[in-house]
Amino acid sequence: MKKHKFVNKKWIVILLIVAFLITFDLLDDQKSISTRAIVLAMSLDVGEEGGYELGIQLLKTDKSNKQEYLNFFEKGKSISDILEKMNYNVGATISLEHTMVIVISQDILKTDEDKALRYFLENQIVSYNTMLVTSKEKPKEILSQKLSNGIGSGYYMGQILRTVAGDCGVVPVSIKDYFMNRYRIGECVYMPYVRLLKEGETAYLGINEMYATDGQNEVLMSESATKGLSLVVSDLSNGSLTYSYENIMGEADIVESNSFISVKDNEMTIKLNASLRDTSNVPQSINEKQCLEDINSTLKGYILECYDICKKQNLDIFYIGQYCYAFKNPVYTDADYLEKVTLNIKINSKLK
Amino acid sequence: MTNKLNNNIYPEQYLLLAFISIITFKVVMLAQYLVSSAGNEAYITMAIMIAIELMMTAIVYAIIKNGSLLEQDLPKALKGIFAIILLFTSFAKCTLLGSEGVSYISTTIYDNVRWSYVTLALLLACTYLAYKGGKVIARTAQIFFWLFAISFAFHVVFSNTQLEIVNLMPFDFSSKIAVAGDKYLIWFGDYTALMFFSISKSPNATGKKLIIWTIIAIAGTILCAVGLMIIFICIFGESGAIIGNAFLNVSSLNKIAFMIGSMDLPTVCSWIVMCIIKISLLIFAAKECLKFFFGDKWWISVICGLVTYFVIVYGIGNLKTSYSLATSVLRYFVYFADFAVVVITYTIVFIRNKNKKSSQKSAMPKPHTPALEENSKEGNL
Repeated sequence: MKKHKFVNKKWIVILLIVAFLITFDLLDDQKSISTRAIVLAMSLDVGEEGGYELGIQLLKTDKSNKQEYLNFFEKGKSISDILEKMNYNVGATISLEHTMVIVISQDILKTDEDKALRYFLENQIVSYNTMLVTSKEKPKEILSQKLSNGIGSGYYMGQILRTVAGDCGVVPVSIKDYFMNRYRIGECVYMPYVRLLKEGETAYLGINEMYATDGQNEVLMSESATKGLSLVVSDLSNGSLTYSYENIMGEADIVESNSFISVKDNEMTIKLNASLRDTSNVPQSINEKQCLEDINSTLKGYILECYDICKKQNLDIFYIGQYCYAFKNPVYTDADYLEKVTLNIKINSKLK
Repeated sequence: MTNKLNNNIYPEQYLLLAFISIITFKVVMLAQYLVSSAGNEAYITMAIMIAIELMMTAIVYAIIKNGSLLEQDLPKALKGIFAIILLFTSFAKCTLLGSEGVSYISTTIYDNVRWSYVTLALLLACTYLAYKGGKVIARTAQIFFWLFAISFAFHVVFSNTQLEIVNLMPFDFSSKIAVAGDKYLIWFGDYTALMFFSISKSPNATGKKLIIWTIIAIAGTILCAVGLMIIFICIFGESGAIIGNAFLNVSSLNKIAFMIGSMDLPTVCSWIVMCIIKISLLIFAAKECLKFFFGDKWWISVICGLVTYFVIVYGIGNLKTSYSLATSVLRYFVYFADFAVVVITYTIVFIRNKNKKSSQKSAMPKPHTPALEENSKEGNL
C-alpha cells in the first residue's frame, strides 16, 4: 500500500489526542476535590406539600487539624432541587458518594414508595455501601445532635455500624440490601433503629434494635428479637451468649454461625449452625451437653421471638414467600401465606 | 505493509479479539435490562445467547482461516451486498453501543461531562486504531491483555460479597427467557467485525498451546458474561432491574471499599480499554465495507469516525434514545442480518471448497493397476 502523506503524520495525531486529553478538564465544568464538600451522613424526611427535607453532615478541617462537623438542612419539591440549593448554600459542590449513613424518617418509609431512595440508587449518587437507619425522632434532630465525644452523630453512627457487622445483634443494612429485600416477595425491609438519649446537655445515640416495615405495617424489635434476626439473615462471627443450668451460669462466644433455609410442603426449616467457644467467664467444670441445650433453646427463642412479633404485624421477615417461590411451592401466591406455612427451627451448635 | 497484511492476525489474537468483542457491552447495562425482563432467570438468557455467539465465532474462524470475508471466493455482487449489510449493522452497533460507553464515561467517571467531549476523545482513539487496521487493533488488545488479567485477579482476590443463591432459584425455564433474548437482541451477535480479519499461523501458539488458549478464551467469556450475570443476580436479586453498570457495581463491592472507598479503578481502566477496542473493531468493519466500494483511502476511516460522532452526539444524545432505538424493530435486522451473512458465507465457502477438493481428486491421475485395467477391458467393471 502506498502510504499517503497523512499516514506519516501519526505523531501529530498522537499529540492531538494527548493535547486533547490534557486540556479535557478545561473544556467542561469539572470541579476539583478542593471545591467539593464531602458528605459523611444524610437525613431524609418528608417536607411540605409532598416534598422532602434533606440534611447533610460535612467535616470541616483546617491547617491546625481542628475538626468541625457542619450540618445543612434544606427543603424542596424534589431531591435534585434540594441538592442544587445546597450546592449554593454550602458554597461547594456536594459530593454524596462517601456518605456513610442515611437517617430516614418512618414517614418516608411508609409514604414515599422509595422514590427518594431510588433516586439516590439509580443515579448512583450514593455508594451501594451507604447504610440506612431509622428513628422515631426526626432525622434532622438525630443528625444535628452534638455528642459528648465531639464526633458528628452521622459519622459516629457510620463507625458503630461498621464495627457491629457480623455481631449477634444489630444488622447493618446498606441501600443495596434494602432494595434487594424490597424486591422480594413480601417486600419486608429492616434496618437499625436509633434511639436518642439525653442526660441534661449530653446526648447519646443508642443502636441496639431493628425496625422492620413493608411500607404499611411496622415492627420495632426488642434486643433479643434483633439477635434472632441477625442469626438468620447474617453470617455471624461475633457476639456472646449466656447459659445457665443447675444454678451454674457461664458465657460462650460465637466464633462462626450461618443459617440455611429450605421449604418442603408447607414447612419452612431454618437450620442454624453455630460454632461457639468458652470464655473466661466459664465455671471450671461444666456439663457441655446441658450448656448446649440451654444455648440452643436461647437461640431458638431469639429466632422465634423475631418471627412471631413480625408475623403478628403480617411482616414476612424471613422471606418465607421468596423461599416458597424458590422451592416451587405455590403457597406464596396466597395472601395469607404466612398463616399457612409453619416454621421449624433446627439448631446445631458446637462448643469448643 | 500491504493491505492484506494489515488485517492479518494470529489465532491467539483472534481469541482475544473475540473475547473483547463478545464481553464488552454485555457487562454494562445489559445485566440490568435482562433482569428487568427475565427477572432471576436472566442468566439463562445470557448463557443461551453466549453459547450461540461462541458457536458463530467458531464459524467465523473457519471462514477467515482462508482470508477475510472480502477476500473469499464469492461472487462480487454478493460481496457487495454483504458489505452494504455489514456496513449498516456495524454502524448501528457502533452508535448504539458506543453511546452506552459514552454515557458510562460521562456519568460515572466524570461528573456528567458533556457527551460531545467524551465522544470526541473516545472516537479520536478508535478512529485512529480503525485507520491503522486490524493488526494494530489486535496488537493493542494483546498489549492490554495483562491489564484485563490483573484487574480480574484483583477483583477475585478482594471480592467481598454475600451471594444469596436463593435469588437465583427456582432454576426454571419460562417464556421470560425468550422475551428477554428477543428484546435485547442487538446486544448479541458481536462476531461480524471479526470477518474482516484473516488468520495466519502463529509462531508462538501452535498445537497444544493454541488449544489451551482456546479453552481459556471460552471459559473466560462464559465466566465474564454468564458468571457476572449470576453474581449480579445473587447480589442484587430482582432489584438488579434498577442497577446500571453491572461490572462496576459488582466490582466495587470489595474488602477495601470500607477503608479507602470503592477500589474499582482496575476494572474501570480495563473496561475502557475494552470499549475502545470494541468500538475500533466496529469502525474498522465499517471502513472495510466502504473500502470494498471506494478502495483503500485514508479518509474513509475519518468519515466513519465523523459520522459516528455526529450520530452519537446529535442523533442519539442520551441513553434513553439509545435504549429505545436498540430495542426497536432495528434489532431484528441487525441480529439476523449478521447471522445470515456468516451462515451464507460459510455455506458457500464450504460447498466451494468441497467442490474444489472433489475436482482436484478427479483431476489427479489414477494409480496404475493392471488388474483393474484388464477387468475394465473385459467389461467386468
